[in-house]
Amino acid sequence: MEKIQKENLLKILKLARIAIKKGDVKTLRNLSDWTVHDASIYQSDIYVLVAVIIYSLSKIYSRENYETYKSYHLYCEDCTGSLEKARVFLEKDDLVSFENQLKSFLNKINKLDKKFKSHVKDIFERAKIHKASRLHEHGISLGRTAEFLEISQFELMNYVGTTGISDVKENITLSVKERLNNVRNVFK
Amino acid sequence: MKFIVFDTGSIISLAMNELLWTLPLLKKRFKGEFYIPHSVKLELVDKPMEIKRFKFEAINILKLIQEGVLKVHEKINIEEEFNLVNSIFFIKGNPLKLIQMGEMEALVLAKRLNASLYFVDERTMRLFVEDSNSLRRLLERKFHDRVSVNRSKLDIFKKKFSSLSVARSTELMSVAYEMDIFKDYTVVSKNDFLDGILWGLKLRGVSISSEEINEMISLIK
Repeated sequence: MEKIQKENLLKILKLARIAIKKGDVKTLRNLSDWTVHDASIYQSDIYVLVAVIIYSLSKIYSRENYETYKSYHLYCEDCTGSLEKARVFLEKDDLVSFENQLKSFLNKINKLDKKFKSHVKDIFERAKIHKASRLHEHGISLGRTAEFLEISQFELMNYVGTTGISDVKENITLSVKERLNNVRNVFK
Repeated sequence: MKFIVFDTGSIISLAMNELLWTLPLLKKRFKGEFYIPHSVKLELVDKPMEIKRFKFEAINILKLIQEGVLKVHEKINIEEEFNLVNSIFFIKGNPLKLIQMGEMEALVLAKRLNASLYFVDERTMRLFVEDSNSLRRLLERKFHDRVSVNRSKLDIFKKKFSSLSVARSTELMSVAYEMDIFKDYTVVSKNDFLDGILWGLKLRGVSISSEEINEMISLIK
């Protein structure tokens, strides 16, 4: 891992922990976007995993009704603790433990009560697709993005279609008239 | 023999909009072969067969393959082209790996078969082939940073692929309408029908702007 990547990730994890303590959902989302930005450049699994985790946590914390679940507060404490552990491992350049700590977020779901577990699992799945869409928005192809996030292209196309990604000026290359004529000529 | 090559996204768009039935009719009119590369078949059939949500779409695509409407080309070695395309743009000294192996295989196949058309519904590959400057501008705008270009590699790519005629499933369905393939859809007006089909394709991932859809509807005979 390059020095700048490490520094960025340390900053992100530190700020994420502060945002969680304050219940600052907006900052968590911004941090997730920042991480996606870096993920697009470095195309590292770690960045994507961090982006998905932080975005998922922002979604979980924004849903006040989840507080009624028995395992909610323990789960939140656990997540905060895990982020701090991950940060410490990264600081010590122990990348294997760092990555394992991040991956353990998904395993924590198994300890939750049934309904809450189902919600959280759904949030993490949707977070992957949302982050994939943001990567694609940066200019990475749909296929590459789907492969990177380990999701199906069917799923990603379905989601991307509902965003404004195609309605940017750079999207238009050939004129509609020319493109239609090219197809017409082939089927003439 | 004439050929048309489809990438993954263009078949997904048709499948998700229940338009795969048009392909046998279009193939008859084309009087040539419709091809997908080997790795695209993995994305369209093998992988979604394991996902309950898209299993039926995968089955419908497999049926088209078994009926010979879509032919699966044998695997081709595209390592050279794949490495080329993913070392053209750089940011902060890092090569931007923008294209996936399957996408590159479809492009190379289209070139090798001298395809009449190459259907690609996603944006990045289309921009690469048709307007790499626009792609660079998009990357710079999204990354808020300068994107450098390996000019000699870009020239090699352009020389090889820029002559390909690129189209989307939206143009295919528009021309299908003109060929009366949708002649039984008399329940709504032409404009309503085209609006429905083109927006259906856009909302399920075809990289077409709303501006282009409006223009397309006005141009369809």
